[in-house]
Parts: sequence; C-alpha cells; structure tokens
Amino acid sequence: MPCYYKELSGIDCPGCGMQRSFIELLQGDFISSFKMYPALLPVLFTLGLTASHLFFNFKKGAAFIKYSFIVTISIVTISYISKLLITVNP
Amino acid sequence: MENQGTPSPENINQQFNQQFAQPFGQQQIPNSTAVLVLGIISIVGCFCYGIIGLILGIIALVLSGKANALYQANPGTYSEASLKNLKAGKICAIIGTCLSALYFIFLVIYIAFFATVLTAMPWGNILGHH
Repeated sequence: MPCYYKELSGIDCPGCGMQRSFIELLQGDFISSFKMYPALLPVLFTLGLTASHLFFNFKKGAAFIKYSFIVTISIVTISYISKLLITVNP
Repeated sequence: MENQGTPSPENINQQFNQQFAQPFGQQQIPNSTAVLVLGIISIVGCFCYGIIGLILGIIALVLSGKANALYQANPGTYSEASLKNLKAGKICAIIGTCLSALYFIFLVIYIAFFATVLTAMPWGNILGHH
C-alpha cells in the first residue's frame, strides 16, 4: 500500500515505515523492526489488549487500555517528530 | 400548573431504579464498546492525512455523548464495566481527535504556505522573460 502523502509531498507521514517494520517483524527481526518504526510494538499491543478486553472483560481492562493508548500515542508522536528533524538536518 | 402532588409513572420508575438497582446494573450502555473501538482505531487513522482519525474520533465523541446522556438519565440500569469502557473510549477518542486535528491543520497550513510561495514568486524575472 503506497503512502499518497509521501508521493505528493516527499515527507514521511506518521505511519510511514509501519508496513516495512511489520514485514521485518514477521521475518522475526525485532531489532531492525524497532529501528524502522519504534511505535509498531506498542500499537500492536494496544490493539491486542483492546480485542482481548472485549472478549474476556478484564476487571481493570479499560484503565489499562487508556494508559497504554496514551503511552502508544506519545511514542508515535515523539518518533515522528524526531524522524522529521533527522531527515531535515541529517 | 400541572399536578405536582402525584408523581408520574416515569418518576416512580426512576426513583425505584436509583434506590434499588444502583449497584447491580446488568445492561451494557449501548455503543460503549463501539466508542472504545473507534477511539482506539483513531490512532491508526491519524497517520495518513489525519482525516480518517478525525472522522472516526468525531463519530466516537458523538456516540459517547449520546450514550452518556442515556446513562445519566437512568444510571442504575447499566453495568459499571460498560461505563468504564465508555469513559476510556471517550478519552482515547478525545486524544485521537486532537492529534488528528493538529496534524490536519499542520498539513493545511503547509500546503497553503507552499501554494502562496509558489504563486507569489516572480516567475517572469526568474525565467528571464522581460
């Protein structure tokens, strides 16, 4: 799936690198997957936590989902901003 | 004036619910899981252009507002777990919507900036047409 935003403007979007990172993860290469896109594992964790909470109804599941969501989205934002800064002045 | 002395049937029903059914509500709040799922998916949606995340987040916020109104009208009948789900989903939706909106506004400003720069450039002088 190509990123139309990147094709249009030449700048990465916050999701760029996710698919490549996911492919690396499927091949079992955790370190290069993390280097490619650090937020992939937290995103997958949050999605998995939500799915399992909806199935099994954990007692404190909602609170855990909330915190995991906040951590995930801050990792996404920080990694995106740092990636932008690194690409602007290498 | 209307009859204030005799309570209406709805009133009695509400009082009964508040007195007896409060801790043992069994029903799920309608749409509470939908709000949670939409709120979570709005992070994934904030990536490309921010539009998807914005739409999903706003839908989740509207749904959570309606569900919250239902809950407030009749707090006893709904289960506590679904209320927690609803609140968590609402917070996730708020964060997702804010980030998507920020990203979207950033993109609009970026595009507008480049559009004005490109149109305001003295192309005639640059290309050498006198």
